[in-house]
Amino acid sequence: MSNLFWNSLSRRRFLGVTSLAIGAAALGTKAKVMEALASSVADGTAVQSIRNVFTSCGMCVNKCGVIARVRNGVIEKLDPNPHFIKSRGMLCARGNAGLDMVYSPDRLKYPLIRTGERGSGQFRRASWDEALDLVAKNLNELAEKYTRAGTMFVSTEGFQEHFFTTFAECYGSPNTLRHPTLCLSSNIQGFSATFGTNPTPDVLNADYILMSGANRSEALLTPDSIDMITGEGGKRKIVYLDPRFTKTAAKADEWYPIKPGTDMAFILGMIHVIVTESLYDKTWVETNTVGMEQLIPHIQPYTPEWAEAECEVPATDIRRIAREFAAAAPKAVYYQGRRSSFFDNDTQMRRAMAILNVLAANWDRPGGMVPNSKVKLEGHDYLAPWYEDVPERLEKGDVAYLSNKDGSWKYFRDRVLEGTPYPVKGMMIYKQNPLVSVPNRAKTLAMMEQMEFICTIDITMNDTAWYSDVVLPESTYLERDDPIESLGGILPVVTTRNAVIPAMYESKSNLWIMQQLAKRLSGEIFESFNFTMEEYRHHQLKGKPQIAEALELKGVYYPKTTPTYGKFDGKRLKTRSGKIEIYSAKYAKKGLDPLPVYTAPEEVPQGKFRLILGRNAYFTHGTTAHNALLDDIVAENTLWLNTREAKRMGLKHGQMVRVKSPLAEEQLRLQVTQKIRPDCVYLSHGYGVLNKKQQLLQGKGGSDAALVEDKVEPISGNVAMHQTFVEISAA
Amino acid sequence: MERIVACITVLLFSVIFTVSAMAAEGGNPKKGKYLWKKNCKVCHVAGEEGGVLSPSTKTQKSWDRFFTKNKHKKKPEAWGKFSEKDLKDIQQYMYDHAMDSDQPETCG
Repeated sequence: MSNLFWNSLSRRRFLGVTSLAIGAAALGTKAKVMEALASSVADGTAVQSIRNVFTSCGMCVNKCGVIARVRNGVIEKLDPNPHFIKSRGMLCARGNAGLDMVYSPDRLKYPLIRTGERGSGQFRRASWDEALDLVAKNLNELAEKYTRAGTMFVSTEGFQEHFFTTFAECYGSPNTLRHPTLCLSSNIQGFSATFGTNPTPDVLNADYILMSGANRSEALLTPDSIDMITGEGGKRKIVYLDPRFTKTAAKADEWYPIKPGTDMAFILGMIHVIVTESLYDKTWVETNTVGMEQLIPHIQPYTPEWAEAECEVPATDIRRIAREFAAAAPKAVYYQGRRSSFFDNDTQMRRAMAILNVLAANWDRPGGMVPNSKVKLEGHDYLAPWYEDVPERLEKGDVAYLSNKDGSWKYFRDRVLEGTPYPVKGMMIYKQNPLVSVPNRAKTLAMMEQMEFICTIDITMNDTAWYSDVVLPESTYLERDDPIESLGGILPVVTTRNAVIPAMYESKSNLWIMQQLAKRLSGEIFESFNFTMEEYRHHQLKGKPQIAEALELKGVYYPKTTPTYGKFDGKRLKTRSGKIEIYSAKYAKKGLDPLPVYTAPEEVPQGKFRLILGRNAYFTHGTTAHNALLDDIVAENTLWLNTREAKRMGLKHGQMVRVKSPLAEEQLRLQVTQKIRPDCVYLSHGYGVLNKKQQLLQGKGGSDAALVEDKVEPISGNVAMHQTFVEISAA
Repeated sequence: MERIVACITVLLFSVIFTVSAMAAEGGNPKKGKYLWKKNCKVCHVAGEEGGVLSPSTKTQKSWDRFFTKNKHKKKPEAWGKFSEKDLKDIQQYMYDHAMDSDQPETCG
């Protein structure tokens, strides 16, 4: 398809058109960045409309820059935006496959109202007015019966999520429930407790990188996935710990199949070496941190020999790696990764990682841990009405450090099922798919079962939509104008989305949906939504014409192309002491360990395996599972089992097996491989769906959400997904 | 309400004195947020008299000092518009979302 395009419009012409368009186009108008008319070469009669639209990918969290190639109103190809420095001018397989999100025959096309039992899949087509009236009626009735806290608002990140959480606040519910406690909340907590923020590792400039299970070659994160294999003049060394030999392991200099849940032992062993051998910058530590005097005695028992017995990485290697790491400091980082929903000690494990980084004196230094920069935009100034007698968050007090905006999935759901301290009977969902993403699917189903009303806004009939009462079709990221988005990082960027084509069928943007609901609820609520997207974006860029110009010219704005280091030198950090906190006094005050204390994970019971989760590079959780272009590459998840164990059990590669956990039994195809420890099995997340609508997923793979128990990390409220043991047998 | 904390510089100097911090307790932070946005943000935005101010501008100790000692001395009439309960609610909101508060960063 790209060849056809380039036949009609050469790169030189493309660039020429770009510069012409800059003068004419204005942000938010229908003239999107570049437009050209080219005569058809083929028959000489038809005039073809060829448009090239800057936008931002919506296939995962990275928001990489995209140029959409549109011919006669049809998106033919998605290319990377070479100016987009965050993604280093690249676009992955998922980004390329975004076309199918628009043109999938299975996407949601019209508002739907359930007619059969929940989960029967029986819906009828409704008009927008009828569906929105029904949602508004239920929201009002729920507020009357259960207070406004009786409806929960479930969502996940995205350029239009803000309108959903704003709607929840204006409606008056404190119960928003987002994705971080299924992902990285323990990571954020551990690093923030140390640095006052969750910094970004300067992967591009680091000479020595340690990674624990952060599978950057498959769980892609820009720019880290690209920078990881770049390095500087061959000096880069990557040491990777993972019970699986992932593609990141293949790229690493050293790989250790660490025993799951023992990474903290490895890190404490390293800290022991660095402290006892005085391999750290004492002056720097004394000036910039608090708590070294408590760390020194604390670390004494954690020798490399002790660590070896726990984590199965040889003590000689721990010692050597610690010395190499210290020698490379400050251009050495222990990369904290992103998803940290592994074990119930995860916040303290990330604290240990953070402390090791402190000993490298890499804070705010090239190749170290760099506090994020962000381009400030004008915020949405709204005033949520005040309602008397609305109780506090449902799970308030259940988690040591609960985010008011994110909540904690595990505790929240348990509270709903208990009905304490008050009932929650309404559920509004935007973009999140909890039946696939939250461990212990049976509990999620039970929670939904007791709801009096459920409305889902999505682009596809996923499992959660399937169990809803009203389903509202959102337009895809390629069919709508989105707000201006400021993406923080070492090199911050500003991006946006421009509608590549008009919204298909009857799909609508989430902003429109929220506006229509707000109108139906009250004039006071609508006041906070009374604007157009064009006005909203104009407000965001008030006084910043350079950003508007750059977005038109290059599809991205960035204030600098080289990092700024040392901007926090001599400045107060956002910790209680204002310094880096090796010892956390606030943890001590809450009765938590002020320094990381190691607790060994439960041993794998005889005859069972530890179930571990992850994903591949063609897949973003449940969001992209149902995509024909990606389905061509990976069509289902398989169960990885070590070759030795498969032989012992008489199981063959490719056969169907049963995976039985304390919660459920799933069947999927076996992948016999040496790339996994013998005591673990692995499957990728997001298959084994319940709905009968997503045609590509029918009968494919097994559901991790069904199998995995809902264990939890109590400091951040993050789930602990790697603490479930399963039995395997031939199907 | 006008010019709450209009002169941040004066305030910052005023809080240098060592004062035993009194953590806000008992206020309703949700109500405090509403009152803050409805009344205080009128002046405390870019280009207005009070200048940009948000809960995360100050530490918890600084907010407590402000509410117990300073009491918006730059413009006391703005302070006087609020009931004791209102001020407690606003203090709680500012404290709960201060620079060094326990509210974690998030994703997205």
